[in-house]
Amino acid sequence: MDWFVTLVDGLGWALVLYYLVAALGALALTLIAAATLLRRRRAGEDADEEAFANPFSPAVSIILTVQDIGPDTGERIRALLGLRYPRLEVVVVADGVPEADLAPIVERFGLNPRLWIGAGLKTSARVTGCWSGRGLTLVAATAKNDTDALNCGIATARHPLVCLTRIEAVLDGSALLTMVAPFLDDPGRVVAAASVPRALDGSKVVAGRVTEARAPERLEDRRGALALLRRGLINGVARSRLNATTDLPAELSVYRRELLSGLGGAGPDLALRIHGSLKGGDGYRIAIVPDPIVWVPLGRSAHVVRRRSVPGPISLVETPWRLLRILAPWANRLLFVYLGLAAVGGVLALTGHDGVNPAVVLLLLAFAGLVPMTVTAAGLALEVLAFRHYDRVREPVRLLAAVPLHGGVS
Amino acid sequence: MGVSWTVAAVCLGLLLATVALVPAAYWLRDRRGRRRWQRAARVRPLLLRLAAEGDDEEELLAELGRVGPRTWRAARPQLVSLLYKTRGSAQAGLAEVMEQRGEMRRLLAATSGWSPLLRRRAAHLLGAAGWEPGRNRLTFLLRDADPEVRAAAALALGRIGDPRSARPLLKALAGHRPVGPDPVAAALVRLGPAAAPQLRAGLESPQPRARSTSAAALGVLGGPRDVRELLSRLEREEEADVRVAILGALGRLGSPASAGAISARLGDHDPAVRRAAAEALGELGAGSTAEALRAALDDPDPANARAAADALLRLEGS
Repeated sequence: MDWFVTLVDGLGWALVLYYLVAALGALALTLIAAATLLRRRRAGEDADEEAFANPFSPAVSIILTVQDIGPDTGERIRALLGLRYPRLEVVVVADGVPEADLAPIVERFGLNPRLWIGAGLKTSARVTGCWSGRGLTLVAATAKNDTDALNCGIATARHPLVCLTRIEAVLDGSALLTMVAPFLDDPGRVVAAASVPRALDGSKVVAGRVTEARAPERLEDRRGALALLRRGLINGVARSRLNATTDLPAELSVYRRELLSGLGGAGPDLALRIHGSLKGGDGYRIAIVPDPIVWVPLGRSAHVVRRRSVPGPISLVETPWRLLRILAPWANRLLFVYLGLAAVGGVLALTGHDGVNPAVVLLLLAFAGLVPMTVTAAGLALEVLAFRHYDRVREPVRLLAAVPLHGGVS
Repeated sequence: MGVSWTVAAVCLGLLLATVALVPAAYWLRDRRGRRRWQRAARVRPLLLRLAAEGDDEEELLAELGRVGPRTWRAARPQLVSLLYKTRGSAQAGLAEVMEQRGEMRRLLAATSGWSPLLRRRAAHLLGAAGWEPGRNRLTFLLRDADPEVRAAAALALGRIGDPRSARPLLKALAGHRPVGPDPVAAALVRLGPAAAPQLRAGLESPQPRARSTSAAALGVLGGPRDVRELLSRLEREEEADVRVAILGALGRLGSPASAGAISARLGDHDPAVRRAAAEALGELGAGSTAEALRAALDDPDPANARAAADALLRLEGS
């Protein structure tokens, strides 16, 4: 039975090595994110007022795509038009929506029919109608997919900054001011800014704004809320600091329109394409805005998070992390195989044979279980320390209950 | 085996400490926040009275000078928030309190600190207080290693509002560590009409960025005389970016006298200039330009054709 024990221990040590590297990487990112967020809090921010008072704050086009007109679509559009910002327009691309269904929106916002002229970007979407008025442009189009519809919106946009968001995202009244602040602070280098979405489930929403942030009711949803915090506040902030951002959340992000036009529009792997096109330039930055300014229902967001796999390394900093991510599904499967074999080894030990090395089991428990849980809890701790948007201590404590559910390397 | 137990114990301790940090941080911040609120309650009415420019300023300053350091720290965020909302003598009164409490000395020291975030914050606050003695230090920060600090220093100089800052601001647009044109333009606008002579001089600068930024600022601050200056510069200007800025400024100033010169630029060889001309005509709203705009609908660049269409729609609406 020696060969069996040797095989299981060999597999165990290989997994220990993998999870050790992953744990060290995750802890390093946590430290970088914590230092960045806490220093930022100490310095204080007054950029919102500056952006509002600045006559040269760049005008923003908010692009929204819808596949149907629901009962709250009008309310969401009204909330976007009511965002606090000196100069903005909202472009809604109704993808595949019958013209009759658009009538309530046209009537509610007093829109007039107009000629659609797309510029700066080629789109294969077929535009069947266009209406505008009071800062809102509604485009009826038939697009091949969501990206195509977004590109139709970008081609319609007139302003130098383009803000992409989703109909289900609920924005804070000052969200746009906060998102544009990095472009004003560092106008020469910032080419894009992305937000860190929070879970909407359980929170109170009045007139298209979150009035009271709460933890989701279901344990599974709380796990999703923690996943968003870990991705945004730990991975997002730390990677932005290292200029290795690969995730640009679709819930709320702002880009220079020229950049999007040059890249051929929005689409998958946008961050990667930005890095690819600007590498070797004078220096650029993709800013991550960590403030709680956008909330999303978890079902949709989890789908978006899963879709965002990014192939190919982009920098020396990113390479080991990417390798870990490629290996992650295999390592997680092998971990379960190892645990099964270790259990068999335990039974063999009871019958007088040599058992598997318990040190390996302990180290795996530490690196594959405890450290990822620590990183997840750290995301929540940073949320409380840096922003504290929960009114009652009960809410973060309820989120803590889901920490054991959210482990593993992400 | 001993090592693995130690490693596991350390990881477990780390996890428990992080978990405990969540309610502890909440509780501590909540408690500290409540205490601060209570401490600041005594000072808040004094600050509000000072900001309201009552006739008891000296008495208020003396009373604020007697406030203990802890209470002062608690009231400081309120003071900072008021600074951004006040102008003139109210702002000066609040700045005097800050000076009296040694805040300005600390801010000046912070502008030389290692952290770019703190340097930027200090620059913002010196500007928000409109503290004239900080001008030299802020001018120095225009060459800071961090671009965000440079932008903050430019905006702060604008808030202080001394027209003498116009020259260093325009100079900061070029060189080894330049400041972006947007913060400089915003700062120049804040300097007010007294800076207009320097901006007119800036139109003749050998640096294209200085010319375009001067034009952008004149578009907000300028008057009829500046329209003439801008038109004259437009006639001679060789750089497309500067022509774009001048057209934007002329559109903002809205003088019908500039309609002809702007319309002529609809035929410029540079597409960005043609677009800026169409947008400027939209701002101008002069019916006499409709014919030229209709012709611009045939522009080979779709973005320019759309700008012309938008301008025509605005003409119809006006």
